[in-house]
Amino acid sequence: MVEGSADAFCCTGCEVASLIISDAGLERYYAERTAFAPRPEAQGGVDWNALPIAPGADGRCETRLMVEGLRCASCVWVTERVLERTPGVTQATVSYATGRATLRWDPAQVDLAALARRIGALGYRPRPLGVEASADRSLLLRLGIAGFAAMNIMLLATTIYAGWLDGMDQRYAALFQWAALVLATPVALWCAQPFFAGAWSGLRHGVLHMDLPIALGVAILYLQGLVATLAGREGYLDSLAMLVFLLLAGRVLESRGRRRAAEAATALAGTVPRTARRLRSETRDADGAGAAIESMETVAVRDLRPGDRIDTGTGEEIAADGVVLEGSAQVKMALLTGEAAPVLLGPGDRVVAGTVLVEGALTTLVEAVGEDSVVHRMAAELALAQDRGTAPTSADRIAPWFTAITLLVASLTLASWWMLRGSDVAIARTVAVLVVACPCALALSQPLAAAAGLGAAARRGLLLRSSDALLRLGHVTVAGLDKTGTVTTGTLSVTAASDPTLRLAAGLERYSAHPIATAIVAETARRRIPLPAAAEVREVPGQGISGVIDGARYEIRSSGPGTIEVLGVQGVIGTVQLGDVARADSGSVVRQFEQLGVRAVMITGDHSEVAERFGRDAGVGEILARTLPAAKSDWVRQQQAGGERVLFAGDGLNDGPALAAADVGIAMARGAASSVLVADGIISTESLAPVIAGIRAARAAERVIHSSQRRSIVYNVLAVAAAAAGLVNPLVAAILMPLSSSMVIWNAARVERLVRAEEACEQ
Amino acid sequence: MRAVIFLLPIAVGLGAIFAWLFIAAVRDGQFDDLDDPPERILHED
Repeated sequence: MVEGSADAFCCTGCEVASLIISDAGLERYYAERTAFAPRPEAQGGVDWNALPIAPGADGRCETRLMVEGLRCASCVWVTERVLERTPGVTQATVSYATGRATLRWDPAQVDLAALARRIGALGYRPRPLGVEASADRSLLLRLGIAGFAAMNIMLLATTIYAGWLDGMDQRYAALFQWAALVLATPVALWCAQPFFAGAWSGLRHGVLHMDLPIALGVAILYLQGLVATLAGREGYLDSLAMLVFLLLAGRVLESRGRRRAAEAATALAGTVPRTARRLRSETRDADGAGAAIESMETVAVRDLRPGDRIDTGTGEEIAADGVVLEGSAQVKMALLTGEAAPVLLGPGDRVVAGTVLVEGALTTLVEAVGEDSVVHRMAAELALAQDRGTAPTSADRIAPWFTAITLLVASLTLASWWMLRGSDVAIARTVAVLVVACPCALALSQPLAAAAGLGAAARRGLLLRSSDALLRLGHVTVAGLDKTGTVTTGTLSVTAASDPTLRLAAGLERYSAHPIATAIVAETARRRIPLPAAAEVREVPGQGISGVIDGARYEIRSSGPGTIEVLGVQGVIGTVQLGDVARADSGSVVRQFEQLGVRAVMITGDHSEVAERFGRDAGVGEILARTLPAAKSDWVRQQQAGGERVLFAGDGLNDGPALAAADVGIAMARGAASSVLVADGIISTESLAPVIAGIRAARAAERVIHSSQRRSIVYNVLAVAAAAAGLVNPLVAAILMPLSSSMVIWNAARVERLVRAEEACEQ
Repeated sequence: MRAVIFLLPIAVGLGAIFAWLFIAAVRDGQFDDLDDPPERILHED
């Protein structure tokens, strides 16, 4: 009973969740939520209490977890409150943006496993976090200090410039100049340090990139300021502080965009200590018979050895590669084979670590663990394939030319003015040339537009790891789409069933955790059929379910692949067809790929008839059927050899090599951990549309970068010419530089507008 | 113009206070998460 509404719960999981919520006095959640929480699933496999968490000085433990499935701010609220009201918990905060929960608890009263179970019972999925990169606070500190110094130096400089008109006592001018120098010193020596470090590491590796002309500019500006102050003249210290401030702001924006994707990937691929139940047989001679007695112990997966026997039950992940000895079970191999439907395994069949046992129980003989396992060998292949290196950005390609031309113009200026007017004038004008040549606007063009592009893509569900990946995405010509889990939902859905049949099936299946049950109950909810109450429900694993609905006895059982029958007393009433279905938006995504000039190819291991049916559903013209997993990466390389730039989107373990080989690899957030690790981007929603948004954002960012770069080069050429002619003094530089930079900033803000305009055209 | 002798230390002192506040705020993690606090105030209880 929720808020007086009398609908029945779809499953016991939801009922438990609602009990927890109302026990904690949080019924308000139901009134305030803006999205429905997912159905609670059985949590299996993660050994929460094995995580290395030591109590702090006050005896409290603290850790951070990833919570998946948070759909609205109310989800966050209810999770926080339920945790806070658990005895023993001293603090619980959950972040909606990052999905992180920070917990502090008293280990004497409650343990982490209990807290994780509580989160799980609400319908969200807690996951342990891997090693996390901490927020880059030092860059922010540098930015803050540079901004503080820049504002103050500008005030001082304004006073000095005003003194040119009004006449100013030389003593005060000198005082202000010295104050500016004091403020500018930390800016040049500490705040600008990342640019010096970048330039130096570039030089050492023989690459001249954008940091070099910037570092040169900062050094010259500061030295000129120092010399000028000592000599009692005015310098360019205000330009120096402004320049460093703006460039750091560009860096901070870019790194914030990158951090989000990095965080998501770390969380999804977090290394998890898992446990397994090992069987141990002891021969006890004491009772004379020498009979073997079986006992069970829980051990960490890393302690398993080949030859061990392990038990796996419903909802658990199989811990190690091996052979089934006893039992039978439905096992979901989706991450490995890309097949959505669970496979029935029995004695003699091989199992692979990481696959999930959907229903049943198995005893398996361990054959390979750790580095010998299938998963590890695939990961090793990936590590080899992944070495992609970073491509130089367009700004970096300009940088060597830019530096060379600047130095050439500077020496020409020095030589010609020396001959015409002597050393003093020559040095002053050469310094002016070097000062205005500092490519602030040029260097800002890329990070600002790329940050805007990364943001635009992230808002639409595509988290990209780097601006490089974004720019590569804009150039792709072919998109290879894995079928299961990418073009299709990768889960079972009802493809055909009449309403009355579905209603009966749902009544019987509502208590089951099997994917077929989930699909039937979800379809019933979608068609708005009220769930009937069922009595005397009995489930015989592998055979079927029977129970009493509306006073009559019904039974459901499997009848061939992807079909179940509902039987009444008189015989078959109807059938429910289940299968993997194309995502609702696959068709429009494929059409948009074509509009963007990208060839879409669907790649699958299925037979050609099945593949073609899905291809038709999704509107994909080109289909590669019966592809072996290894052949996916070969396909990527073939295309690349033919001069294409390849985008590959996939979700399975077997997609890893192709994701790594492609120019841009994009993984689904719910996919295999290894696919998330090697991919350049992660789709955070259950849809393919973010890829399209990403391509649009990339192309918009690229256009903006080029237009900004063209304009800043024009600015630099004009300013250098003016400086060589002796028309530039510190005041002129102080006005010109922020002007050119704000032109670049304003331009970067156009990225989002360009993407929106394209989206508007589409609708 | 003797005012400058008083104003300068005052200005520097004020500036130093704000710079210190900023550094303390960054070290404290105030700027680590800029997305959640605006959501959080809607759920005061």
